[in-house]
Amino acid sequence: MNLATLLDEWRRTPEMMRNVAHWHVEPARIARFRAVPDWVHADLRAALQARGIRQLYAHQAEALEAVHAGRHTMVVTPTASGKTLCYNLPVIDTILKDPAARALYLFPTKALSQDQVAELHELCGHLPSPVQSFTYDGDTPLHARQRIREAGHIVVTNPDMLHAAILPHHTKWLRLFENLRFIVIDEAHIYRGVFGSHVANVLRRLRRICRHYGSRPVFILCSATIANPGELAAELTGEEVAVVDQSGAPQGERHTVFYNPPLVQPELGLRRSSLLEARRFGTRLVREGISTIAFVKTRTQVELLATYWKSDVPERLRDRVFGYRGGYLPNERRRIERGLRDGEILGVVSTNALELGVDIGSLEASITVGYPGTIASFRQQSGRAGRRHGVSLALFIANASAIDQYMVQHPEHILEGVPEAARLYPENLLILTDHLKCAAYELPFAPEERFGVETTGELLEYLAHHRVLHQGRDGRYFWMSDALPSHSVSLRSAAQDNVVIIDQTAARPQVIGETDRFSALTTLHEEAIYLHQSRPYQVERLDLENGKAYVRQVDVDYYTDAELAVRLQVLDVLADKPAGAAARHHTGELMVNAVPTLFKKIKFDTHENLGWGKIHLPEAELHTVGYWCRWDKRSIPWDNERWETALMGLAHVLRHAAALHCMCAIGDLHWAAEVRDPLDGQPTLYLYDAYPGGVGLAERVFRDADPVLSIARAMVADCPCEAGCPSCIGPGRGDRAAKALVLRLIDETRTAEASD
Amino acid sequence: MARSLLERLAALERSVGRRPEATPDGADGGDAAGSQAADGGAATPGEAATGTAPRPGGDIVRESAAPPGAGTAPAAGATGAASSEGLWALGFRPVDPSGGVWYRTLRYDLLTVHGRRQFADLARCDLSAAARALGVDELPAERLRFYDTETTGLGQGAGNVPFLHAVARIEGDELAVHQYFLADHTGEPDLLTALTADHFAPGSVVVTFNGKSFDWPLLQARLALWRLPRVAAAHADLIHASRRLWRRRLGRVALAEVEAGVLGIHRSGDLPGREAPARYFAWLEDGRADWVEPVFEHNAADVCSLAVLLVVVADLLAGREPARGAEEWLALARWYDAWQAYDLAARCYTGAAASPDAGYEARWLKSLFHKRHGEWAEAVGIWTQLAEAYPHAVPPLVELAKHYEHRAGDLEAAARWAWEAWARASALARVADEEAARWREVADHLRHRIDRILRRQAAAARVSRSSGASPGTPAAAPAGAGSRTPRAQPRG
Repeated sequence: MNLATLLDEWRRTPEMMRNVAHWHVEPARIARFRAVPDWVHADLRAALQARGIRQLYAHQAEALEAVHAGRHTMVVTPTASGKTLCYNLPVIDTILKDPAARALYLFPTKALSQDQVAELHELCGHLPSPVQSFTYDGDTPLHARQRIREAGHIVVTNPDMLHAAILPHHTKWLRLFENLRFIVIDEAHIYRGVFGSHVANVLRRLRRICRHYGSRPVFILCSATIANPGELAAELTGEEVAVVDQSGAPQGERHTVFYNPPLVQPELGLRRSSLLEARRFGTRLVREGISTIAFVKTRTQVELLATYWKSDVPERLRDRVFGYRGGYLPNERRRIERGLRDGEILGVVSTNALELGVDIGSLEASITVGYPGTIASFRQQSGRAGRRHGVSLALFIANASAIDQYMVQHPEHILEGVPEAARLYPENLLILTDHLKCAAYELPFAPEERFGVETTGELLEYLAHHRVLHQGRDGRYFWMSDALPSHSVSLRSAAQDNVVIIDQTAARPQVIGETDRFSALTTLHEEAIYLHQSRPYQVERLDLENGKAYVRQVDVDYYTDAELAVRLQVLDVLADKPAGAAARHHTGELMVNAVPTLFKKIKFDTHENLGWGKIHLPEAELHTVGYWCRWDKRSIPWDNERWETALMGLAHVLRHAAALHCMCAIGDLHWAAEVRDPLDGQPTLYLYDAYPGGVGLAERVFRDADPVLSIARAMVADCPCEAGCPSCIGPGRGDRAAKALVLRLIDETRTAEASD
Repeated sequence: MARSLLERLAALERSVGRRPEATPDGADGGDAAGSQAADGGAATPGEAATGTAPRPGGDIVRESAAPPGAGTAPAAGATGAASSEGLWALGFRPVDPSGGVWYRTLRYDLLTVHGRRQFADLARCDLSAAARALGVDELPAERLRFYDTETTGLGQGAGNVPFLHAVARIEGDELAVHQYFLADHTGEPDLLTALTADHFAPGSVVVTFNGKSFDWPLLQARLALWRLPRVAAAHADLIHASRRLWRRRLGRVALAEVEAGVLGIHRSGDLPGREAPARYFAWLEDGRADWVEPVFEHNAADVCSLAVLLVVVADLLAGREPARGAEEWLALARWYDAWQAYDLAARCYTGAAASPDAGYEARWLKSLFHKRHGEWAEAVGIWTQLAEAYPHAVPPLVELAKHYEHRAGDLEAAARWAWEAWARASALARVADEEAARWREVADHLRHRIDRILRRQAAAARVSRSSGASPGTPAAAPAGAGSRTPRAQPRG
């Protein structure tokens, strides 16, 4: 049965349609073409013709002209709209006209860069004169590196390599930096949050080195659809950027289905598990031979859903279903990607790792299990299904959370809404300082030189005071340590090192994955069940000091879920303002102490609780920036219990509303609430950034407190439950008036004008 | 309540487990300071003087007698003087008025004995073979530049700064050691300009120890960084030759080990090289020359040793000094072999095999040499000995099997050796280690060989029965008969 027939069947099934909140059909769209500009080198035109390209899509031509005019350019068009030509054409054209010219391509992951080089080689293969492009990453053999440094016209790499291998050794890349004409940044929307903040600083270092060698490269960026492409590009590159955002590429017919699992217990707002629905839909699609990708939120869910699919599909299809997530080793991932491209693999369950443009070919159906946190991310995920021709399906299965319920009831938000802005925060003190050190290692700093921020001079002085830098007689700051600073800075994880996961089931222990230290506290404590490719492993020992977790394969029917106990301390109030009549919003620095306390054993399939155990691990400390609201307890005549119900409920929904507003993952913001805050005994609610030094999320919540409260209010008020349910105000509120309490607290807290 | 940017940063760094680097008033480096202040100071190494007279000359800023490091103990009495004063006392003079670069020359009479040699040997010895072994066209004594640096860190990154450069060269009847000290980072372009102009003009030949992978590319990187022209010079790196000659004897082939184990140079009170960066940083902090003085000595001693090391290598290669031990003989044999100097190679292989410490390798390599030259009797003799002396060795047996099957045409002997080899390889394949798989493969190959020999034996038996020939004569013309003539095709 093909997809179109299956969709017809679903439409005719009342049990199905009862739960479909919205079914949107986007008709097929035809292409808009423009001629290849005259100035393009004849060899390149011939090469394009040889590949069957006689004209360009409108956006490609537009980008080409902008770059040709020497403008930094950001191309924002959907998946599979031929973005790569937008940068390959001007780059190759320039190299054909000036063989000394060089270009640097940056992709967020190694896998992506390999795909790109393959495509680039294909195009270059049709050229009479050689245009050399090479991938330079951790896998590049040593003997090839010298040649790449000297002869590579186009060097394809990733930010990590740029940070750790290329910039600190820029003298070896003299030829590249002297002649660098283009810096291409693909998948630019990935560079947001902590990673983006790091990358923005790496690019500051890159620009600094280009200046030193006298080159002024043009930036060409490509991104999925986001609200603020120009702003993001400017923050990343520090330059003004022209935006091309009208796609001229064709698209097949697309069905977007919003599915809300049925309520199983209306008063609690309990719904059927979205994961179990995904199990049902996915199995059906795969059984019909429809290539399907499902996106879930956590690594554990990847393993769970993949296991379900494997067990439900017919025997013959079992080997064609896979899980895919961060933490798998590269060659394992590569094998899965290849399988998807070849059509060998029919079903894959992934975290957002496959949102990126890793070339997995074009699938027919995508299932998004739970709102991925951003519209941009949702569009990336659904873009994985259906490229230029043919029917495709994007199925969104909402879970019971406030955010999902909000989304499934406001489909226009996803379908027509402006996608969120991608934000980064390159001024995070830790990140900035780390890169300032790296930059000083690379080239001495003049005292008046600015590295992104006004306070550069102060920071340089600080580093000199701590003997990291030395101020020479002419006032310049020089690196003064025998260490290589980039070695201790990872762009991907928090400030700590990773924990590797070692399987000692076999005689020869084997590394099967890794995770960051903070997650290790809750996922790799002793006795935790760690899932890898659907196989459960039990953690036997966690050696935090050496960053190793030893696991062994076990045969169990449960997984584990750990809890953290958190203690908060305000270090410094940066700003505060009134919130309604008797409360104040604050933002400032917090110290958070977290210690994992206990874990629950939860049965597969039924998700029932089988028991629990204690976790003995040291406390983790986090210095960060928080937002908090403090009420005068007397302003509302509630007893402690009511206050607690209202605070907990508000915290739950506010965190979701804030994540929605700030375009971040729920996990990027943590919360805490105290009826009697240790500081002055008043009811207080905290939201704080889950990254040392803060990444601007809590500050934004402080600035936009009223709009965030309004979203929170809508989430609670629009929820069909009667007295408050896990989806709106969180689980476990016994009070029948809970929903009303939370709404009252929100109303008391918003300023008068903002009320509606 | 507002905290300063710097307080916030310090707290943040602490919270993520990053110890902010020690502050200047911290205890970090204090120990070194104390000990250095006690025995440091402007040393005047007058001990072990060989009596060179002071020489006139514009750039001669310091006369020194003994090679530095060779038994020189620093004189007592720390100066603790301000930077320029301390450097002046050590014989340094500023290169430019800004005082970023300082320079001194140490001069040693060529008759000075350093370890087992004199510097004068450099002018006397035959460097042509050494040139060949070190991969340069020539080693003209007066154009040699023995070069070494001290750096602030490891690796080739742009933040690793060579802060002290030494070039030793023959000037008249002296060995002159020129040292350039980066007293302040600001001066690096001036330093590099002076250094390259003075010593690395076209035609000069740089001699280093591990310089091909460290000092020289680092120098080029510094030139690139400051946008100065690169320098091109022939480069002889002694580390590879040293590894070939002495790896087994020394274990770790670093200059200090070569000095102690081969050159007979024993440094006393020498500063370990890894402490150099900390010394330099301490100098940058307070400008006390006694921090870096031991680094100067260490660095000068290094280039002096390079000169002597080259003499020792050259004499071995030129045959002026007999090799000692199988390892040296083998190293020489392999060089000569590669140069197709077969007589010399043969002599060295013999020397290696005859050496009291000759082991399996020496005799095995000698046998392969004979094999390449078709000297079968010698080769077979060695293989037979090895087969007996080393009950686990497989390759000599394989060679014997091949020899008897293809050349001697003695299928019975071939089968006997092949069976024995197979038994040994199979035994090794049963040992569970990384090599097991390889031995299994060897055993499989031998199995095929044995099968083939048996087939040929059977065929020979049929032929002999039908033709009435007596059994025992070679069954078939040895396949390798045509290759009995010596083949002079050395490998490598």
